[in-house]
Amino acid sequence: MTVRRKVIIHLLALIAFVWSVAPLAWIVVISLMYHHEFGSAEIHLLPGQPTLANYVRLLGGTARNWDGSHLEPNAYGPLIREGLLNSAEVAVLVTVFSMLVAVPAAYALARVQMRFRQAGLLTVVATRAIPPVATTVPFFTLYQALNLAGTKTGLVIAHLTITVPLLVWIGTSFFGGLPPGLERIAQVDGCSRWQAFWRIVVPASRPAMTAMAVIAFLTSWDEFTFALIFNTGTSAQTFPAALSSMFFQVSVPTEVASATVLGLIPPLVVAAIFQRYIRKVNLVGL
Amino acid sequence: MSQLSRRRLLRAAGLTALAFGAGPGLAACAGSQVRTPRGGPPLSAPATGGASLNMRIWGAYPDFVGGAVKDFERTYGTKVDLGVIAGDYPSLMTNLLRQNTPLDMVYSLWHMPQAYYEAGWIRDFERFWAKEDAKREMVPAVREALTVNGSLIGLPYFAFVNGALFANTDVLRKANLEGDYPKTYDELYAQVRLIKKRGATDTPYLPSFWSAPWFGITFGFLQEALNRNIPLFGDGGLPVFDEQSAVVDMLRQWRDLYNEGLVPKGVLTFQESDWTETFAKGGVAYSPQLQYDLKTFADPATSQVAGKIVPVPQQGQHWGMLHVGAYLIGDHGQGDDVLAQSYRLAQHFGYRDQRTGEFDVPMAWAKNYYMTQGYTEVNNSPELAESVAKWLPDPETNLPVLRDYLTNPQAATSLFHTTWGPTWMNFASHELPKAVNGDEDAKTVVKNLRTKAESLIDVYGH
Amino acid sequence: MSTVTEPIAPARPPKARGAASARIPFSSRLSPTRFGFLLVAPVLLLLLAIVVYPVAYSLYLSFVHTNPLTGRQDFVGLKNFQSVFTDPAFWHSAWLTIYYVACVTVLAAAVSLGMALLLRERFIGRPVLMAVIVLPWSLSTYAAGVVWRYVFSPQYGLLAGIFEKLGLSPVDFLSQNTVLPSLAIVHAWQFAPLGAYFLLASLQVIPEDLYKLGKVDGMGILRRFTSITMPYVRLPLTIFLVLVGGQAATAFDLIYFLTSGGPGGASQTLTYDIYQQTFQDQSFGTGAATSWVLLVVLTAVTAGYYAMAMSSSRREKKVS
Repeated sequence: MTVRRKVIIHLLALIAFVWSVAPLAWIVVISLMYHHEFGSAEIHLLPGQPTLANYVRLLGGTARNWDGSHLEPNAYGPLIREGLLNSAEVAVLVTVFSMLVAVPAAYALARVQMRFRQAGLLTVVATRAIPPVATTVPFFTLYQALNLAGTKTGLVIAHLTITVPLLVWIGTSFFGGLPPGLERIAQVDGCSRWQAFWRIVVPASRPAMTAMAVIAFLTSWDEFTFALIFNTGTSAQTFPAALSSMFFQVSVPTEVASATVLGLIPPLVVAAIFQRYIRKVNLVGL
Repeated sequence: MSQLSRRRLLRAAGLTALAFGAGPGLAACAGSQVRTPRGGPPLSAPATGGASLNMRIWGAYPDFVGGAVKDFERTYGTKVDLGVIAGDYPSLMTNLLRQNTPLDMVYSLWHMPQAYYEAGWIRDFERFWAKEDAKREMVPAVREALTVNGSLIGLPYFAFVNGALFANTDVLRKANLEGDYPKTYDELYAQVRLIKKRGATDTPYLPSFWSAPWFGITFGFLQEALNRNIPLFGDGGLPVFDEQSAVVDMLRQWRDLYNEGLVPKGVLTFQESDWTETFAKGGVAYSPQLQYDLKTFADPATSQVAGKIVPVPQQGQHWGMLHVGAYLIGDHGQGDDVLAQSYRLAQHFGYRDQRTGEFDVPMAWAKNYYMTQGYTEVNNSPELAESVAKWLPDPETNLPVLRDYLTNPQAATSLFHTTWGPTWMNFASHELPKAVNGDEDAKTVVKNLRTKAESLIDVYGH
Repeated sequence: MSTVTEPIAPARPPKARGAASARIPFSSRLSPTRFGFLLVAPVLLLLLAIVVYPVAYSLYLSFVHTNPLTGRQDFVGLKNFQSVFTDPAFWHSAWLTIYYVACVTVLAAAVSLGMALLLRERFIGRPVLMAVIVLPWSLSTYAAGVVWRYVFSPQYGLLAGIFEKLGLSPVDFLSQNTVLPSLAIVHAWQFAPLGAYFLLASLQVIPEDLYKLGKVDGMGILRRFTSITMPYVRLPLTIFLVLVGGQAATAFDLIYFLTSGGPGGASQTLTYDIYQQTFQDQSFGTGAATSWVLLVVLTAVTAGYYAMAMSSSRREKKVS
């Protein structure tokens, strides 16, 4: 490798790094500014007087302003905190149920020699073409009749309609990639068909299943349309809806930024921890 | 693959058949909503608490509202579930009411209730025990705004002038125009050009051009037309403007302002917060703003223009139009006892509290946030004057100017008291920016606005 | 595991029925189809219970006129579709959607391929970059909208700040002519990492020798790219782009948070148009009709895509 080539590659790597990180870094920078500084006539690219006040106030504490004056807790704090907790609860439930439902189905569609296999697979993935906006009104009507509107249970079920087809598709290609005849060996060893799946195939696909769980979690955590239409204004409202009630109002951008960052932390952490699994996912289905 | 697609086709056919069979049946039960018949004897204030009420608001100072709710719960022993609706409030609220969600008290702007009431989604206040007293004490324009088809349908949450014209004295001083306020829009536009020419600032005018689904550019359009005495809607909401109307010229002037760079960049995709934020940053001479943001602008902790923002006096021509927020009561088939509890909640927020007989919550809104109220007594109270003085330079001169705005404001009643008005206003919020940025000619936009109004009248009846 | 693989069916287990059936566990006694159905049943139940009704009801809505106030519904046949197809606003939105999809796919292709090519190289900090590029993807689209609002804003945005330092005047990235490309940048920013990982896997199987041979043959860097690299990544790239394109065609959160369809109608793609017709205009019939037009087009494209993915993976397997 020539020196010139090396330099160019490192330069490109730097650009790729900045491209990926700069927008995120910027919202963090804003969240660390006092509103006074943010609102100054010139745009400051770095906080001259960095502060955690926006976060402290969102979490219910008081703080000092840049000039030493007193700042009350953020009025949206309770909404945002409740939203974060609800999001965590919904996302965990969605992850658990999606895995329970999708993993066996994906296995069956990938490895059990059954009739209608491709038809089944197509039915499942076809539902992914439906844009949520198109079905929210009837969906809401149904939920109203079933008393599911404005509940976390309802939102979990709604999210399952998104995550399950997604995981089935990803899982199918995973299981399909395992060596053929795995079950036969297991069955020769005296396993039943179920045991072959449960004791042999599942452990063999642990990385894959980690990735699936991560994707289910992220999809639910990030879902906005259903969360907004079904649960807005109720105590079952998740973070995205809570954030949007802040974002679209007369609000202070530095405070919106800190709330946004709080909501970003869980998916970013999850993605960073599990990125080597995500990388291996067959991304075709996403 | 051909085999697969055949299967897919069959399945699609099956699904279609199912849809035709199941759709109407299910729709029939989803669509049947039992609404409560109107009328009945006046109710009396309940002796005890009880019931559990659902209250929905938009996200303005949720902490203050939460506190007022707690007070109410403590005093009356009635539980209130308070929720903040996100973002596109009118659309989401309309959806909730249409779908029969049990909501006992909700915020609304005054252009929504006509549709809500005629559709039977809200109860009226005709059986409210203090109806006559409340009506008597209301500012007449507010009383009229909250009267739909002869019935009182809500109590006022706030009442002020949307688009009261604010000036930044700092910029005016730099341009050597201090105290030389424009009297009409034409003078205003001439002056902002002069300000730019004199180099006082680049973007002297911050108009209400942002296109949020609720007010923004549509309110900007309606209020400027009203202020200029250009008729838009006649009796019963019939459109009386066409391509020959003076609004075409008004829109062309908007286009010029935008074209000449007299307004801040990106103003068409602003949100409410960008609008206040940009004014608070300085560098804007004039802007129609929401009156309650005076407090934000006056706070040196959040604003660079503290002590420099004053209202422009009205000299012959009005600036802005009446803006009323209301407390409505949803109709979900509740009985008289629950209705009475809801009345009391509405009374606590939107009139004199039943127990204290005082304007507790309205007065707090007025003096803490300069959210002026639908009641003359509150707006003219010395307490309010004292608070406002903190947010206004030279209160002796400027407070009367603010009061004048609310004395006899213009109102878009003929449009706001139609069932289709909100839908038309949504349409306008996407149509008007095209005239501003030149995507469409002003004439075409005006024609489209008229055509839309006519087609909506066809759908809604009137 | 990084390419599409055709699900492989195991051979039928040895005859399960017959002797000693009492000792054969339940799952092995079932026919494969029944066993499979049992595993798939929960998914099908969920989809039937929850997805079918809304979809069917929205189809029903597209054939009736619903009075926005009274809720009264009258059958109108294809009139809703007729008014959709004769409405210039629909064609405007359809055109915007196509334009948006085109912008997104071009940008996503460039960014993801560029990143994949870069990540194939060796350089200091490669593991860090490998981990960092996943971050935009983990964001939700609405959060990406909020984040980029602060990047684009001419008043307080990152780009305006940088321009200011360079002595340039701010740019309105969300003006009518630039709004869709700007939105597409955000979209590509968010989804390109996925494509980069995906393409990287394909790039890594290209034998290094091919490039050496190419060099010996006097191929320039461009020739080496087109005749050696491209054949390996063409299929995965197409697959990725079809997916990203499908996502772009149904983008809603991003537009809602960044522009709300504006300025004017400049970013009013079909999904946003559906939202507006349904929730703001209360025009349920035409909203549902538009949804179905979009749905049919998307399903056709997705079906085509899955067909392509499946047949190509079959071909690939034959090759290997």
